[in-house]
Amino acid sequence: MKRIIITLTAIFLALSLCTQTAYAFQPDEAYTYDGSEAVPSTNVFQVNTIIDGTVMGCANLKSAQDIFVDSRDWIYILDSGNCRIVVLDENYHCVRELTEFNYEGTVLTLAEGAQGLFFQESTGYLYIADTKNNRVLLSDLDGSVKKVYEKPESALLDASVPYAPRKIIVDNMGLMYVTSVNVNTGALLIDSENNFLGFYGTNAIKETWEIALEYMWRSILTDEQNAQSQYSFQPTEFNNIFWSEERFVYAVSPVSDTIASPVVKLNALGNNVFPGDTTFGDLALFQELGDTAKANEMPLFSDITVDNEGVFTILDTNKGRLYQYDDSCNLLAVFGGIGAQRGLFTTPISIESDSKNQILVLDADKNTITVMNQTYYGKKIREATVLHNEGLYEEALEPWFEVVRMNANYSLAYVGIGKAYMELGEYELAKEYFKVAGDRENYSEAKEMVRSEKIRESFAGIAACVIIGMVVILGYDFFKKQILKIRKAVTAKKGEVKR
Amino acid sequence: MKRSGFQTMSPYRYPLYILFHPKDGFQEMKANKKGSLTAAGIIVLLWLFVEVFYRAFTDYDLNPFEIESTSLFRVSVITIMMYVMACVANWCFCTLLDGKGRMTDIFIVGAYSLLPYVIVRFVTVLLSWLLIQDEGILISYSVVLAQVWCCIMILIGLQEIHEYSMKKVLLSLFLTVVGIVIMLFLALVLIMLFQQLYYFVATVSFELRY
Repeated sequence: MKRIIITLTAIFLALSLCTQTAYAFQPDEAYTYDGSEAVPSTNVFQVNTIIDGTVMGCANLKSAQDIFVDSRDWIYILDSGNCRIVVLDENYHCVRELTEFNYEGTVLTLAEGAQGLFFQESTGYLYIADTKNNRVLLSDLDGSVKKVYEKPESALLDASVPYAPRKIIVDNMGLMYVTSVNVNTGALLIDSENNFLGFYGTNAIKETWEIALEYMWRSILTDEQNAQSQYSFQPTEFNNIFWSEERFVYAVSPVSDTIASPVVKLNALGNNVFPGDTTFGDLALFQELGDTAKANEMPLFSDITVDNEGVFTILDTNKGRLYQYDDSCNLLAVFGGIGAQRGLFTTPISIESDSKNQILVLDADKNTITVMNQTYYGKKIREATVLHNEGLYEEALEPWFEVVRMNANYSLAYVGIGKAYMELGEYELAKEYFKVAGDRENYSEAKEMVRSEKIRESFAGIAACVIIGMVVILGYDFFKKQILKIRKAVTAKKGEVKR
Repeated sequence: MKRSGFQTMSPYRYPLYILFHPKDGFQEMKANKKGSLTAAGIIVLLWLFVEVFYRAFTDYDLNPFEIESTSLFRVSVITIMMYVMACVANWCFCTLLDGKGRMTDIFIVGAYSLLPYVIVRFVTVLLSWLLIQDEGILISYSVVLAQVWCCIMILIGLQEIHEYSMKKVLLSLFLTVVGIVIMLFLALVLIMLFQQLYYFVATVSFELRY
């Protein structure tokens, strides 16, 4: 008896272990937004591996601040706490470790707390924003510095504000876009000869009636009174910027009442091309909470990354969550969270996407890089949205159905199916799917198609009815006249007879 | 007095006559007690029905409400409450302001005046199944038109039953709105008071039990 019990327990234990390994376990409950309502979702991302010192084959990271992934999937890590640059190959093995940089015979080192890193693939140069040393280093992968960029000379730059480059991106022409601490007029545009060309992409101020009112008061009040005013409508500075291959600059800023949008996609002129009314991350929830929101519930967007299909991911450091959107700002995935488990983060600081659509999350506190890859569900969503955004609605039908099968709460899928049915001429079905998706505009379009189809179908009947009706009316008039005539004739005759 | 069709009209056709002849109709109603409380009640019930019908059966693209998150019970209660409160408030103030109208008169005038809105609302719900979003402007315009019509009827109706000048009617309507606000405020205070009382009793009983 005892033996049986023991074997049974052993079997159950083994089974329970089996189930745990069989599922892609994610500690945080996944969700997505249906309109403005948060609804449960299937996991879109899961942990692939976690890169730490043992995986890399070198010393552990220490409060690293930035990572960069190139097209070969090599990873460049700015390990700020150890004042070094670590380069990993596609298998996450350390291939280079730069601590000392040679510049014209002298040895330069990074100050602790450097914040920005960019690798230009065409030239093979690293741009390092050495924040505390107030300079940008241009170095190759062997550690020999080609150039040191100090603060550029320009009357436009406030002399009292020290130059502290935080994040840096470089375009194909070699122009640097540098964000500097306490400079809120946008990114500094600097050419390769360290000439300051101007500011790029200042955050737009939100036009609210409060600001209009304050503006009015300021024009009335004296300068002394204005100086006492606590109200400021200054834009916030960028938290991070990203250079995408399609020559757009993506930028994230701290959430504030004054700026129009914390997440922007800037064109060459520095104008935002995202629809202005999009709320990113859990912003809608935060705005709903209003004054009752706690400080840690405020989104803090600290990094953004875009992959080669135009899908971008933003990182909310306060909540430890990542939000992935497609090119038209449709929410694809929410994942991550604060915690000690695998797949959760304590201080996620920088994210990058690689060529396999994996997301790499650098955690400055855990000193690891978590590689998240798409689940089957995530791959299907991606496949469907990419086809959908290319206008291939029919081809997207199958993956959308697969998505709905796994997560019935994902409203974008219903829009996709509806559009496919519109293409196929199944307007009634399309109408139903748009209704489920809550898409009134497309529903109306489908309804119009149904209506015109019905009119076309029954046109013969309607026309026949009209013709028959006209014949009847005309005929009735005609016969009435005839009858009246006959009656008149009869009465006339009768009169004659009487007379 | 010249005899015309409406003097011998049945009380259920009478509201339809008043629709197009509010001045004559309400005058006659006041003088010869032609108003029917039953007809008025039916119209108010129809209004209630139309309000629910509008929320539940307007086609999706022209329906501003999410039917899943709309409580039809709440809509009905609010509709009826609004009507009763408006009547009571108007009666309260008009009695003070030398109005000649009785409670029943006010009730009937209010109900009869609602008729254009009820009819138009009903028709627009049916129309919503034919029209698309771009043509929805037709619906909103016709509803606004119906509301204006209702207002004109109410003004004339109140003028007739209270034997007021137009100025005084407007004043009494303003006071009616004030009255509704006061009533709502009192109701709120009362509810909060009872809530406090309930919590007090609940806490005491909780303390006594444990």
